[in-house]
Amino acid sequence: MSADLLSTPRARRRSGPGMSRRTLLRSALGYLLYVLLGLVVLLPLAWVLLGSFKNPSEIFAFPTTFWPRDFTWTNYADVIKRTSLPIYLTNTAIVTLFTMLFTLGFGMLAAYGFSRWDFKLKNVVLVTLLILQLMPSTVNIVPYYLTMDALGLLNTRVALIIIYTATNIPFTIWIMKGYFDTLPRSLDEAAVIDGASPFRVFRSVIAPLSLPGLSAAGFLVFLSSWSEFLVPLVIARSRDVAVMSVGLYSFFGMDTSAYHYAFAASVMSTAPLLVAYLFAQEYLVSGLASGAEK
Amino acid sequence: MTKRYQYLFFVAPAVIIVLGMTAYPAIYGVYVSFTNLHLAFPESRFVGFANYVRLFNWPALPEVLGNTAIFVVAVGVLQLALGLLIALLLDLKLRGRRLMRSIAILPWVIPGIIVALMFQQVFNGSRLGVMNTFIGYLGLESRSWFSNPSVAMIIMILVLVWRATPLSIMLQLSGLQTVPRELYEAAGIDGASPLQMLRYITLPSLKPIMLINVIMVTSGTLNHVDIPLALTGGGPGRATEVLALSIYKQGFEVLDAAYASTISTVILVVNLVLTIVYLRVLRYR
Repeated sequence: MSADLLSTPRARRRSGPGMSRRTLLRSALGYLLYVLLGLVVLLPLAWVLLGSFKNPSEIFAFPTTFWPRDFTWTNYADVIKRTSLPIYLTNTAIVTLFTMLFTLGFGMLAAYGFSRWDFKLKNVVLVTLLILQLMPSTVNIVPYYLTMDALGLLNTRVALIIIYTATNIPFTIWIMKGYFDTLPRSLDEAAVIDGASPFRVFRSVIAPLSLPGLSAAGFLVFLSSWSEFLVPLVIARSRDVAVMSVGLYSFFGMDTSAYHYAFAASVMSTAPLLVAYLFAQEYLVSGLASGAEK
Repeated sequence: MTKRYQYLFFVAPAVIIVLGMTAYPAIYGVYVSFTNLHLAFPESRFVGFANYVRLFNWPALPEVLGNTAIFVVAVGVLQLALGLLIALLLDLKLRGRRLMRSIAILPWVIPGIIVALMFQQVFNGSRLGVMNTFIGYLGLESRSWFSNPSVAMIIMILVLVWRATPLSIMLQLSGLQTVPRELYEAAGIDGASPLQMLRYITLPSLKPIMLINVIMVTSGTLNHVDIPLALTGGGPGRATEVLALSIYKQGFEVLDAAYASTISTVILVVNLVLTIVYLRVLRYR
């Protein structure tokens, strides 16, 4: 495979007279590693995706097949009709949607404040947020349970939205502040001269310009709220409020003794993330980097 | 509100939510570790360092600590090495590298629970499992992968590496973008080989982001629960139980909230140390 890639006109042009055998060898090795990396990443995923289209009889037949003998949507229809996955996914979507709304709303407001005003303790607060960003939910899991119990919010989606919002705001502030810092202050000043209040400046001038930063932050919030496992397992483990991760972990075995639904359920649970990833990946590397380095 | 305090309108709501739901629970957790709070009993009282003494004398502690050390070090070394190599690979000017970047980052987008379920079936002990089918072609007998303690640990490590390496790749890629291109051009004129450029330009320039990477991977793995919980559940026996998983097991299976908080507090202290190092690295770059 690498050989015919190398003989393409483009590769030859790039090679030119000065390109040595060594460079050719290097790109051959590069493509070989591409194939290896691609296989390691894609094979397990392909196995789940292809498995979701197999007939149940084929899934349980020996020897195991990789490519389905015939493609069928049966598993998807069965998962939707016979399991509670639609409820789990609806719960996940509700929690994710409200978390994104609150996190991005409060996070952007705060990022704008940190970007445009200088005040005492500003750096202390920013560094504290950075520290809290490195404090994962794992160490807080018992207090989360006790606090939500005391507030009467155990087994509610509200509890999840509150916790997710709090844990996602710090990196949202860092990403959005990094982005706002690149927008010239003259934009704000022009609007202020026209008599706009600071909130109006934020809403009408700054917010509409922040789509690139918002895409990166928004995707990260989406990814973490959609996938979170430990917090909902402890805080919202009853069946009617279970999110996708808890549903798949705790109840899926009870929904069906057969694991042939698991393929289709996994695909359905991951698809929204993959779609979002397609749109957001442009901004991801730069967005993540600005969050990690500052 | 006077003009001077206008910033409060923007900053205060977010800061209050974050402090209330992350800093306060952390402190509350430390407090709980000094009580005998048990989720099955309503009453609790202050017991001083009793839980810490209990933790210190916990018969399973050596095994769990050993597992945690193996897990954190193995995942850390593999993830950093692979992250660096793959980032260098994806930085080469080859055709299709944009597509390859998207593929390389993909595992990080898959929820941990799905990753765990997926690899549970890959290493399924029946003859229908993917690995068993594969070794069947090589003429080997089917085996029950997760019932061997060392094999279960190795699988758990590899699965987390599969899932988490993209984060290291992204950090290293962003680091590579900051290396000034002129350095390579100058070195090229001086007749430096690609390997020399890697050794004397690329790797030294990556050092600061590599340090950040080390801290993030260490902290990420130390606090990671999803895959141990859903893939092996800590088993067989306690062979894959790591400290972060012990928090969940003690708190919500044994219902001993105080004991779970004691373990949390230990991890919290390690996290704080890591964070201080992280802040130092940031200041000196």
